[in-house]
Amino acid sequence: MAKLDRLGWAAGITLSAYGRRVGIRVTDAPLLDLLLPELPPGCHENSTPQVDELYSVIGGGPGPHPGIHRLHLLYVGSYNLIRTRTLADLCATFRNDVEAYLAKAARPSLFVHAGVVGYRGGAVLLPGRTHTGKSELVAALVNAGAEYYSDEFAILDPQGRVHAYPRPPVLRRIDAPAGPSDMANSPRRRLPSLPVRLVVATAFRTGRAWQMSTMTPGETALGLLGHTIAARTRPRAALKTLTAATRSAQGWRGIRGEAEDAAPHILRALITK
Amino acid sequence: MINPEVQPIARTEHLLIQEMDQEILVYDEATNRAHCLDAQSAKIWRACDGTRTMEAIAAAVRTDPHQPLEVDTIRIGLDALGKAGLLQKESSSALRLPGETRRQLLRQLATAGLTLLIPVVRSLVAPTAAEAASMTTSWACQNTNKTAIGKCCSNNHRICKFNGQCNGSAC
Repeated sequence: MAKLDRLGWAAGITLSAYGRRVGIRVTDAPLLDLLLPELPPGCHENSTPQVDELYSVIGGGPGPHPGIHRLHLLYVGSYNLIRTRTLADLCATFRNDVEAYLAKAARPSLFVHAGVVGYRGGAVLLPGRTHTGKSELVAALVNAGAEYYSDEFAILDPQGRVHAYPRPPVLRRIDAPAGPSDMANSPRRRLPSLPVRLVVATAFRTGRAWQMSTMTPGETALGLLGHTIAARTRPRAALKTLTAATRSAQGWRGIRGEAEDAAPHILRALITK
Repeated sequence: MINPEVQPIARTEHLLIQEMDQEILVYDEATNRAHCLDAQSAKIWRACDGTRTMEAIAAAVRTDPHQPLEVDTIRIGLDALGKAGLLQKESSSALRLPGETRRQLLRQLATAGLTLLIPVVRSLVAPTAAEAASMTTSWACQNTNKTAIGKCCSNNHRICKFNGQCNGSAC
C-alpha cells in the first residue's frame, strides 16, 4: 500500500453511500470521468479524506519504447483486482466490486438480492439469484403498470421499508429482447420508500402455469435471509430488519411460467389487499 | 425407544433470537444456520427449560383445555428442534427419532386430523456475501457482456475473472 501511496495521483474523489465512504484516486484525470458513471445508485460526493474503502486506478497505454504497452491496473486497498488492456474490463470490474462492497458493508441499510417494484403504495419483492428471471419479471410488472424500483437489490431500512436502487436492468439471456430501456434512466421523481406488501419467491419453468403457495411471515423472513448479502456479517440486524419488513407482508413461493403471464397475478394481489 | 422422563433443555449459547408474532427466527452463530420455528415448535422450544418431561411440555403448550395435546406431537417437535441444533446436546441425542418412527407418528397424526398441530422447523444455511450477491455460471463468465466479472461461479465457487474464466480466488 505504501508503494501505491507514493505514486503521483492526478485526481480523486470521496463518495458516501449507505453509511460507507469510498475513495477513488486515478493517475490520469479522465479516468475518473470513466469511473463515476459506474457507481451504484445512492452515491454522493463527500469532502472527508477518510475512507472505508479505497480504489486506485493506474492508467496504462503506450510504454516508453515501441511495442511496449502498459496495462491499466485497478486496486482495492493494496489488492490488485485487475490488470487489463481494455478500460471496459476495468470499469466492469470496478462496478461489480464497489457494488459488492457496499452491499456487504452498508449500514444501517440491508441489501437483499431481489427485484423490487412499487404498486399502489406498497412494494413487491422478488428475491432470487442470477438466472432466476428477476429482471424479466420486473420488466413485465413495470409494463403492467408497476413502478420500477430495482432489478438487483432491495434496500431495506431498519424500519423494514424498501428504498429504490434504480440501476439499469440487466437482462442476462442473450436472446431475450431488451427490457424497457428507460426503466432506470428516465427522468423521474425521487421515489419514496415503501412498506413491503408482497414477497414472491418464484422459479421460472418454461411452459408452466402459475402455481403458488403462501408462506407465513417467519417463512418469508427466512426466505429473504437466504438472499441477504450481510446475513453472516450482521445477522442480528438482518433478523430485526427482515422481521420489520415482513410484518405486514404476504409471502408466496412457487413456480411461474412467462413473466408476462405472472405479472397480472402479482398486481391483482395488491389490489385486493 | 425414547425415555419419556427426559427433560429437554433449549440451547441458548451462540443463538440470536428474534421473536415474531407467533413464530421465532433463530440464527445460530456457531453454524451460520438460520431457523424459523412455527407457532407450535416455538411453544415447545420455550417450554424446554430442563424441568419438564414430554407430558409436562404437552400440558404447557396445549391451547385447547378440552383437547389434550398428543405427546407424539411433542416428540416430533423435539426431534425437529434437536436436528436443528436448538436443544442442548444431551437432550438432543436422547430425543432423536429414527426415520421410520417419525414417519409413523406423522401418519398417525394425519389420520387423527391433527396435521395442523404438527410442529415445523424450517432451516437454511445463511449465504456468504458472494453467494447472496450473485452467483454466475462458467458460461455466463465467458459469454455475457462482462456483467459476470467479479461474481462467484456456481460450478466451482471461484471468482469469474476478466479473462472470462472461473479461475479467480475461492468464493
